Amino acid sequence: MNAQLEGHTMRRYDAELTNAHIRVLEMGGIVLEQLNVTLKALDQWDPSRARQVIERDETVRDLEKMIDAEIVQVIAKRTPVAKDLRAVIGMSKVLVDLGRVEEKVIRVAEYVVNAFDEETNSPPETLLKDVIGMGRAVSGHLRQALEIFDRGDVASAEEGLGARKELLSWLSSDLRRLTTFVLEDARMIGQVIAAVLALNALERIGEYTVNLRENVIYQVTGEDVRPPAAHRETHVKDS
Amino acid sequence: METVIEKQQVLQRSVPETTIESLKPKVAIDREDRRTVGDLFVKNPRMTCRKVDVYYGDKQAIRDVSLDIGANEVIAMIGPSGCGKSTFIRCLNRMNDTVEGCRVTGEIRLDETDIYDKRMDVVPLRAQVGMVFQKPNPFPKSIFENIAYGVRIHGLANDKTDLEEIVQHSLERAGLWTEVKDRLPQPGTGLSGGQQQRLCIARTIAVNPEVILMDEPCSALDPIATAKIEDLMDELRQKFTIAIVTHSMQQAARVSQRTAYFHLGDLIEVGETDQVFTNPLHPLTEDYITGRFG
Repeated sequence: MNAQLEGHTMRRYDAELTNAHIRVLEMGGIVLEQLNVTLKALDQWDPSRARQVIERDETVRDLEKMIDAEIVQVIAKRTPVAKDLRAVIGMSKVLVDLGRVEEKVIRVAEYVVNAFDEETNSPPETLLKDVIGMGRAVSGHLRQALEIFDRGDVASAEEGLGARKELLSWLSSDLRRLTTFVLEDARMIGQVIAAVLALNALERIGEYTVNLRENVIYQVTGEDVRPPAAHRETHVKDS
Repeated sequence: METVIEKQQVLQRSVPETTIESLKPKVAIDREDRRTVGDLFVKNPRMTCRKVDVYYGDKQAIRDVSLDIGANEVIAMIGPSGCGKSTFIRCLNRMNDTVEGCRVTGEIRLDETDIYDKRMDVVPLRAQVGMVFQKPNPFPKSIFENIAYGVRIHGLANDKTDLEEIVQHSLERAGLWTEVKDRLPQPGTGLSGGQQQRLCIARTIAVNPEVILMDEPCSALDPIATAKIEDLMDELRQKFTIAIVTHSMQQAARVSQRTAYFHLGDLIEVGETDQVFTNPLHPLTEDYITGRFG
């Protein structure tokens, strides 16, 4: 537990901040599980699992709204300042990012449902490998980022800031490889586009895990380490 | 690499040339370190305090406080009870002279004038550096006389018309004119608490002060009256410099441009209010403003 949230003279305030923190983690745990179930569905060619993920989306969205309301209550009642203010703002931003992760997980789950809709159209295993590989890496990033958020661990948060670049280069090399599928057999284009969209969704999830790390640094030190727009990694090449 | 404390020492040695810059800590500041951190000095000071110590008999109430109060700024003094913030602002117009056994050392200047110079007449000083107290304290006289009294004794009006103009202008500046213009002969004590406090502010500004000291001016007022005083402070800052002592952290955050945190007689931190309330430098400041002070 993040000790930064404790020590107030008014102990109820400790409880409210800690509760909000735990609730954001709870949301993180559920979103991580959504991602992992989706990846399992992909790995095991099991669209029914992916359908379950899509069905759970509404519950996850409701949870996000509830936690959002709880954070607003803390702000309204306690008017936090300094590290408490940064903690609450950080929680709110992490919650938004987790909501976006959930949105992208649903994209991937929809891909799984569509990919295995008819057995004859199932994508070749080599094509799926790229998506699964990226998915596992991103799932690891998300789990780590949530642990770092829980501990308020700045040193570990800083270590993972390079993940954005790493995932983009991974995505670029996957795109090159996927292009060869199309070159070999033009009928694969539909499946390749679907895989590219899934890969892109996963890469975005990776991006959100870096946001989470940046937020931890802000919460603890007050330093805004988000890179300026000009320095953001992108796979759009300069013309 | 230069630490905040090291940088602070440099600042203290190179007094008026110093420019304000953000002093982000390169190393964590020790909770027990009582040397002041932050932006003590400003480019355009109205008052300068250097190495000020205050004693009540044998007991030292304030230790080695150096601080600038900038022109046209509202500076808020915050800190727990007994930390010395009220004692400090009372030094700024020598109100502590009236306290038996109180001794002030160090240097306090208003513009270039040493206010503790033996030749200094405290009566005009207290007009130049006016004070508004916690509890509204209008004179037991009419609303008009509450304002006119100080103007007369300081010889600021040439004739009756002049006096009436000053009274009206002061009440207008204090945002009270429209509420009292039809009952100027009535007693000031008959006004509501918030109106009485604004009357006291009008009384203070009628004698052309440079600095207005406010010692918890809103603690006896309801939220609406408080909001009116805070709004007034924002306007008055265009012409005057204001130093306010407040127990309300939110009030300090709302009204001031700079905040000074006192702790057991030490000035712990001074900085831009925006920075102090989002990312204070000293752990003691952070503990106090976040409600962790034991």
